[in-house]
Amino acid sequence: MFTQLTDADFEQVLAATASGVVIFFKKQCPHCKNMEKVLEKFAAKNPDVALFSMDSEENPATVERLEAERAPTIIVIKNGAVAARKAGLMNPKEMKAFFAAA
Amino acid sequence: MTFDRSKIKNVVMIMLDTLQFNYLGCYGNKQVKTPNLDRFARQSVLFENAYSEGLPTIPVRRALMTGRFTLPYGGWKPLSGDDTTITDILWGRNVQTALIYDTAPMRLAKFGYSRGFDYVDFCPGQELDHTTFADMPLDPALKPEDFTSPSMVWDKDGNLIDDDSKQLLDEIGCFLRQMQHRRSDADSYVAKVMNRTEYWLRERRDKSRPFFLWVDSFDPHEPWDPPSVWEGTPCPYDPDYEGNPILLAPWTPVEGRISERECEHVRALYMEKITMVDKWVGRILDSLREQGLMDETMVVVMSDHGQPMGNGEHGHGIMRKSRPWPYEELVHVPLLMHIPGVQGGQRISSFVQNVDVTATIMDVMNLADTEDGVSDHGMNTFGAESMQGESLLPLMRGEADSVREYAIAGYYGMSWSIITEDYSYVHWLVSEDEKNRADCVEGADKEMSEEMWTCTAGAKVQMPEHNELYDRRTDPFQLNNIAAQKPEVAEELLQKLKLVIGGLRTT
Repeated sequence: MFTQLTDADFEQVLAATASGVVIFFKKQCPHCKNMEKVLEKFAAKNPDVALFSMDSEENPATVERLEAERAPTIIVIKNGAVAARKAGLMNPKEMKAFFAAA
Repeated sequence: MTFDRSKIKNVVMIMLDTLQFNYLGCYGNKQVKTPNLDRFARQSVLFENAYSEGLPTIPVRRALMTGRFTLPYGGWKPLSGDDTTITDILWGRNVQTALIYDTAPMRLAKFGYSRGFDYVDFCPGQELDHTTFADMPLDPALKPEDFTSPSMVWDKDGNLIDDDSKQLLDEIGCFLRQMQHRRSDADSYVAKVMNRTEYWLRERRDKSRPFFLWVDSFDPHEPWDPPSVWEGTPCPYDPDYEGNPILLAPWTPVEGRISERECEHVRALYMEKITMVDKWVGRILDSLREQGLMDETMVVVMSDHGQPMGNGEHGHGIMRKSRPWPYEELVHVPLLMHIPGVQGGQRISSFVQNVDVTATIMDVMNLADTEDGVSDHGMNTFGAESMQGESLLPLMRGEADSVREYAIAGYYGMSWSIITEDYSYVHWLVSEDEKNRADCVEGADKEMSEEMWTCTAGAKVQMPEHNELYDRRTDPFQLNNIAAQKPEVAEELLQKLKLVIGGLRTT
């Protein structure tokens, strides 16, 4: 369900995305797995929102630029730009409100 | 009779505050006499491993009313507009709701725990509400110091030991102001609550409509005031004790303050109080039976937590809930459920938690799959879609062996624990020093920072040195910490605990 991005293609994809959500994860991070489930539920209810993921340990440039050192960090993309960032966990209701407010 | 949801009209929840699971005959205690609850247990389903998750009193009520875990979200705090309770869900449906209680924390200003009950009857004066009666004149023959041990209050020079001494005398004084009018155990708090419940059941309710009744008795929470204390007779569970009755003890660790013998006597008074509570709860169970309501009513009898009363398995060195410590004697609770059509006399060993009771109530009422919506008048309506518990019906009907492989417990912001068949593990969210000083509601103000739910690149699992691991099969009351001997098990359980609570944070 997630399109995985890298330092190489992130900027391009960002500029081309009208509406999206990115999760910055660490492979061993249990919280990331829980947050992925929340995003999957969100995507199911919002099919127009593109869903991306980035491995924070393998993509230091983007992580630094977006200040996404902590995992999970959720980035909201609106109209080709970063609209909001949040580290930590949210439940589906909170994710919905976070996206709407971004 | 067979199980048929459409035949079950009513639900009665009887909550008895501070009734420790192993102080009931039906849970194996061979000393304390609890014939009514034992009889009810023989005819209903008894859950051997029910655990409260967030402690103490208020988080338990919130978990039960909302069907959601509190440990990931908050502790001792009011019900909010974002919480959806059973009574919120029952709005607009043909079920009358009633709350009859004396559990004062539920009536705290702005806390809102009586929200949504059509009929509310609060009996004032217990514990946090003792100031209501502070200005009543007190019979001069009744002195607070006669109702506790002098050595808990004064030092050898006759000075008050500390502020806890003063608070102790004040609390006793307020309680005496009400109890000076006590003539028999019919004037006890549990009797008052049950008599008011009886009035509602026999006369006040609309007998043509289904009902959801919540009875919340603060007894057998301390003060330890069973009949022998008022009658000046020996406590039947400790007749040889010499010394003042111990209505209350200070909110402190026992070392240097409360003797072993005094702790033992407190526990005996507690047993006598439980026997009295059993008698009055029995009246309501009998009333339901006499009115022919048992065949159409789900009845739950449970407690929110136990009570630390001394050393070792009795309280790990504290008296009353003076510290935010989630040990077995506190978090393991009695849970009995009667559901018409479900076979009585069963003992179920699966782990179950507060939120599962709520899910079961919703299942029995056929409201499990309801969602939030809007009425035809544009008013918000609510459903059970956010609940996190598992209905216990399949378990009770023999269709499943277990709903949970483990239970969690703790004090928000202070401590988490995980209990499995093999182990129990206590994870401290605060330093060793803080956990030994803090009172039990201090965690309420703690913000669970996002650091708690995130990792930085390259970070390893940090296991606090003061965390505790216990072999649950041989040491269920957690007396021998084996974290140093089995660090790999400790680490695994810590990871699991974080994953579980993090998971609950995302649903």
